[in-house]
Amino acid sequence: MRSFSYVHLAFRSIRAHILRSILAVTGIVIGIAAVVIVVALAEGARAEISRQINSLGSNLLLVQPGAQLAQGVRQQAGTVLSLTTADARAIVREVPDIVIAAPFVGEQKTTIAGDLNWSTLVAGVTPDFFEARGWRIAEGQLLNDDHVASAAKVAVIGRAVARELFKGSDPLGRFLRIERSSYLVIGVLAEKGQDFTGRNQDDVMFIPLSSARIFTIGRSQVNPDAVHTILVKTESAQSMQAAESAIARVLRRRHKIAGGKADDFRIQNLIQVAQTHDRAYRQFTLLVSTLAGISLLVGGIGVMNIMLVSVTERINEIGIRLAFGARPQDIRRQFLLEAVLLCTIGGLLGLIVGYACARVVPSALGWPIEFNERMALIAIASSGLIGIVFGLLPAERAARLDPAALLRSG
Amino acid sequence: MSSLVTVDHIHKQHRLGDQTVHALSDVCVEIDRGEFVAVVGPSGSGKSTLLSILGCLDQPSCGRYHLNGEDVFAQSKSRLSELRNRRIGIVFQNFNLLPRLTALENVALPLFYRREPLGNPVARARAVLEEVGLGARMHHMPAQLSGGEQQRVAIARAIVNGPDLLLADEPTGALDTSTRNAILALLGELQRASLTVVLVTHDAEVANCAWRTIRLRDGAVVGDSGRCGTA
Repeated sequence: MRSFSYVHLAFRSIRAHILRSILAVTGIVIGIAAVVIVVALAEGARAEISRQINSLGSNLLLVQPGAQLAQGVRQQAGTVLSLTTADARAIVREVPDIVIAAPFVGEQKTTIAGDLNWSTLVAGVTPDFFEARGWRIAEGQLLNDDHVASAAKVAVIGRAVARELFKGSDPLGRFLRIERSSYLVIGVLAEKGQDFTGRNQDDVMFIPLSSARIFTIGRSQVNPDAVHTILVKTESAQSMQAAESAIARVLRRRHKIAGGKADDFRIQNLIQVAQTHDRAYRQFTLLVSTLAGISLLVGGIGVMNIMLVSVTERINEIGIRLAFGARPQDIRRQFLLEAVLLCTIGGLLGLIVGYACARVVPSALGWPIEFNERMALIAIASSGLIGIVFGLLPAERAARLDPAALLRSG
Repeated sequence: MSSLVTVDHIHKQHRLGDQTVHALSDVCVEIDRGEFVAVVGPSGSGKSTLLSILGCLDQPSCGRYHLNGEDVFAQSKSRLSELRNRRIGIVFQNFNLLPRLTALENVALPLFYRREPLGNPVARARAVLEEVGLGARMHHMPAQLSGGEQQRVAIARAIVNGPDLLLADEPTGALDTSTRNAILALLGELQRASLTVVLVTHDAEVANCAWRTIRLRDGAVVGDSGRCGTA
């Protein structure tokens, strides 16, 4: 009952000097609002990146030849491409916990439909590539083994290509031309959006690997079985590490790389890529939270100053309370609680302001945001803590006042 | 009749710059339970200082003060607070009500600081307010009350915990004559109901309402009309 009364008393005091109370907590409100906004933006970015990385496919390893290879760019004729379709088959055979090892060749090409043209990534793949990358068909069908076996001139296109070349009309059953070859559109893929490098994943055209080699992308004279990438999907995230080492062993053996010599390939673990990004964003969040936390300290100093003034102004009130039986600890408790309540209310206001701003501004700019209940709790708790720390001095001052001096009526 | 207040050779000095002011010099007073005492003297005679000491608000430089047999200034700070809360009530010239609390809340203030809280403090505060004749004004703020009404509230606050001793420092100094008389009458009523009242004033007419007058001048007792009501 007693502690409730103190809280009630604190509320009354704050309300009694409402303008001053508002001014006192402005620093806290701004500090908390700033933290909320910044963290919401950082978390939003992090979540978006995470989503983009995940949209590439789960449990994926990218095996690429050691030579420089930018996505989709054709190698100079004569460069040895060390990865082959046979390597892919060997990986599936010999490495445990591998679900898929899908080879891939790709090149940027101009595709033409009617009198429209569009430059896109043309990729030669096998049917399991779609599963590895989590591509879903929206209309029509995906490529199948027959298409590959017969080097059929069929294509499955992404939404962006469908939009650019066929505008509003249905692409299925229509023909696309790449250089001298004509491909029949048999499927349109469901949208995926951007990947984490910023590339639009839907700007792509998939044709059978065999067809790509024969008609469109061609093959190296030196190594006709070569591929640009092997996409490997493991059973689980846990098996990726082991799979990476096993794949390296298999490839070194197949490529006859002696011990001590460098690999002629590299393996990228997409989960690790994602984790690196994630860590970077978390560190950023921590940094800006710290900076914003400093502004909270400033806010706390503001509260302390206002409360010191308040104590001076309320000397009479304190004297009266002491004269009627308040002990110094009662006075201390009263002012400390007032400071804590003031700061906590400030924190809450800051949360509301921060939440409102973070909702309005970024969505106008198209930036992703994400909120976190833990953030809210930390905000409130730290404002309360600021209240305790910066309320101590004024509370102590109040408690030390000497009742006799206060009440001399002459 | 038992002695409620015993003041034994009390001295009080203040430092004022590099000078020492003797507010009280060797003051000895005994007050019995149920007395109505006026302490009179000109400005600077030390009467307010004496009242502060009796009210446990100030400590003497030396000497002893016994309240109800208890050596007050040998007690802990905590005990002093308790005495101020339960055994003593003070009324001031300028009322000293908290301006942002209602009359009822002002009266309930000492109840808030009780060591053993009351079950229903609001009921007690209300009862005491009615006793002083302000039952109808309990939810008013001090600014909405007249001087006399505010002093009544102050008196109610001073007696709400049922103290033994009521101290009043120029309680009618800020009031007009008729209100003054009403307040003094109230104090008289309370005293007759077995409260011990010590009234400090520089006004001889006010002092006449008490049974006994103690005169102070320059910090020392220069007259005492004696006990048990003889002028």
